[in-house]
Amino acid sequence: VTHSGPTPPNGHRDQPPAELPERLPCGTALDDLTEQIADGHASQLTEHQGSCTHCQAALLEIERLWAPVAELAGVRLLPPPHLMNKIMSLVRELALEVWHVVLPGDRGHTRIAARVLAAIARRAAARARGVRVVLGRSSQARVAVAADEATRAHRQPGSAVGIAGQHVVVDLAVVTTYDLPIPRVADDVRNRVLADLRRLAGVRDVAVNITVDDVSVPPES
Amino acid sequence: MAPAMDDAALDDYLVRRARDGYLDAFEELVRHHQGRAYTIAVRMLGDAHEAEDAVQDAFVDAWRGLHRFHGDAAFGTWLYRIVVNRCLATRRRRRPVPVLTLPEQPGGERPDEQIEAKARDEALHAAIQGLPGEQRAPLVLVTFSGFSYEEAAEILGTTVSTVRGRIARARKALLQRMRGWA
Repeated sequence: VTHSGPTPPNGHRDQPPAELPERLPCGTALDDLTEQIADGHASQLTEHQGSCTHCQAALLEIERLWAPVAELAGVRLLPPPHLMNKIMSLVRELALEVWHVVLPGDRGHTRIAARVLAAIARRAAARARGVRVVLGRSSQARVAVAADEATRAHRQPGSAVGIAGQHVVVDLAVVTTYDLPIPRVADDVRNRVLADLRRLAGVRDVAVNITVDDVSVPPES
Repeated sequence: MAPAMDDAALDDYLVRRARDGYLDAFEELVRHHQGRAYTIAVRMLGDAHEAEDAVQDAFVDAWRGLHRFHGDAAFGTWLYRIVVNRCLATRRRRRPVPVLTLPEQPGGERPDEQIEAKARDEALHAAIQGLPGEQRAPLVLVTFSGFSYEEAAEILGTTVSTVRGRIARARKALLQRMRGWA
């Protein structure tokens, strides 16, 4: 990469200046003096520097060389006024994109928010036999996790819905009752959720993940 | 929001709210951090338009990745790291920077002080852009964006002594470069 920039005016047009030395004749490292200048401590001389002409001369020279850098560092840069609006409109687009399912149609598209699907799924699941509690859990799918995180405030507690385009993933955590076989309960839940999402929301491409977290034993009576 | 909250606590609160889906909270985070993010990007890239794009992309990345941010570092640290990485990626993608050129000077005349100062600034910009990324990033954070060595190390995910060493090399290169000018 070439970053040659303009050529300095005073005598180095043909030969670049010799490399700066690592150390002064007194043994002081040039890096230390440069750090002192760059950190704005030019006048805070150490005991050695107070009596060392090499150090004092070098400090003055470095300060002179560093001055344009210090000047540039002092320039306050303000972000352009439209920057925040640009960022936020992109973020708003993303937030919408994440939690709407889009059903394309001849006369326009229908968008349904994730929280609507979540509400339908939860109500459907709760009606299944053998279900005591239905809880939300974020899906393992990356898109669904993003949707879950982005929509926590907007969705119904009780189920997590991940959406990507027309694909919908519903995650349900269920506590079943003791009296019914778990696979049958899960099938019942899945069928009801699928049926209701199809009937009420018109979405067909749905996966329903069910996690049985616990079995509820009826209290002794 | 309680006025007693310090900046870090306020950021934490806003991150939590943003993760809950409150876009207004994220907007506040943008408001708080865009200035420093923009300064970093301008000095990293030496170009205002590219800097704007890098900052914009970084904030969008941050929004997308908010669920991965767990608050073990400050939000700012996390965000500025994204900004630095965005800038480094921008530089890798683009072709070599065209050599900055001086406006034509009237032939034979000694350039007046303004032109010379402008040329000197351009030389400085070129020198900064000519630094390798691993030196430019810590230099930009500490010298041009006002972070401490410790903060810069945290942002860059490295140690304070590494940051110090790289900045020392960067300063030396700049000094060498400015010797003909100051």
